[in-house]
Amino acid sequence: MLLPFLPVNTIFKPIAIMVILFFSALLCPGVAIAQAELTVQNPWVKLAPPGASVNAAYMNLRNDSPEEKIIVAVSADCCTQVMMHQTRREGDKVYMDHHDRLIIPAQSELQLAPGGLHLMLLGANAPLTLNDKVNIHFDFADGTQHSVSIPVKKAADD
Amino acid sequence: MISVNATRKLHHYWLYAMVIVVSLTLGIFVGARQLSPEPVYNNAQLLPAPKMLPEFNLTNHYGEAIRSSLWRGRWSLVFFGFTSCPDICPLELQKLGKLLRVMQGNTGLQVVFISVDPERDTPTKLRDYVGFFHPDIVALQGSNSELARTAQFFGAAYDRSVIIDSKLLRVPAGIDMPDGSGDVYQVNHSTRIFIVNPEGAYSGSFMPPFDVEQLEADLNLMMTH
Repeated sequence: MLLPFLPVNTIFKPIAIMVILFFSALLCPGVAIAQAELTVQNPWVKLAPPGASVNAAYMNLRNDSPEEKIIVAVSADCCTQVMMHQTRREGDKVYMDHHDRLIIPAQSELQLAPGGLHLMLLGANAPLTLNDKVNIHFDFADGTQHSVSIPVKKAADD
Repeated sequence: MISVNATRKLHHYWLYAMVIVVSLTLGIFVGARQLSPEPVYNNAQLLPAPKMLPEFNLTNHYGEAIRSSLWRGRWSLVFFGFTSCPDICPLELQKLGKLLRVMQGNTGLQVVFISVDPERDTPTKLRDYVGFFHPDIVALQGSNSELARTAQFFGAAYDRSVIIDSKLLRVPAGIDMPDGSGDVYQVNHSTRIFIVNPEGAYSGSFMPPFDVEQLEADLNLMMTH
């Protein structure tokens, strides 16, 4: 038999590394959320200027499941309220439309980007600063709940 | 004695001469117009005739009353908004801050941010807010009625909407926010950038969406034309 002749480290080291990598991936913040078919891509909270009482969060919500997913409520640990908003232009005037729910179509994606759909974070417990992490919680129509950790950045590509 | 035929010929010569002179004059005029055509802008839309700004009873982000000299001797880009705006105002002010940086050294340009939300925007808040985008941005504010007059002069539409007792209430420009509005309400506003020339006259505007390079090119053209 070959096994007894191999040192213990040779067998267990790769397994230990795999286990560590597996759990590290599970803990990786802001990228994957509990439901495997739903992924949150490039999430970020825009650093607000001092004096501003609101922040906006942007991300790409990808739904790979055959069913549409409906977000019915959003909350954040940093703030008293989170609203689902959409900036709408009419001529040169902009309006802010409030949404009660956001639908991510089946096998499709929903983009939350500057000048369009966004999450409005109100009543921050303390002003959000660069590289802070904000935990956002989504409530879905099917009763499931998901969380994602989002960094505060100056711009999407920072 | 001059014969009738000779007189007719003389009249014809005068007629020919007049036609030639008029044609030449028209040709020179049209040619001159062709040689110096109106500049073609990427985005700027100029008014047929600039409109002098009246006195506005507004204060700056230090709480000081502004004078008409604010608008003189440099080009001003005017943007209406409010500091509780999470999406569009920071997006556009970021571009205007960048524009000031790329046109660095050009003291002939200033950016003026006019808050149309006096209930929430204090001078301190405005100072901190505009300074974040560029230290030279000037913020202005005033009473609701004066802000409505200022916005109307430029043709900048805005109103505010609030939910009170589960009912959506639209508050027109110039009207104070009603009791019970709280701190969470929307301001729907024009996102055009208005241009004031160095004589203190409203001379045109830029329509969104904005591109910093295009704004810079248009302004350089405007400043040299």
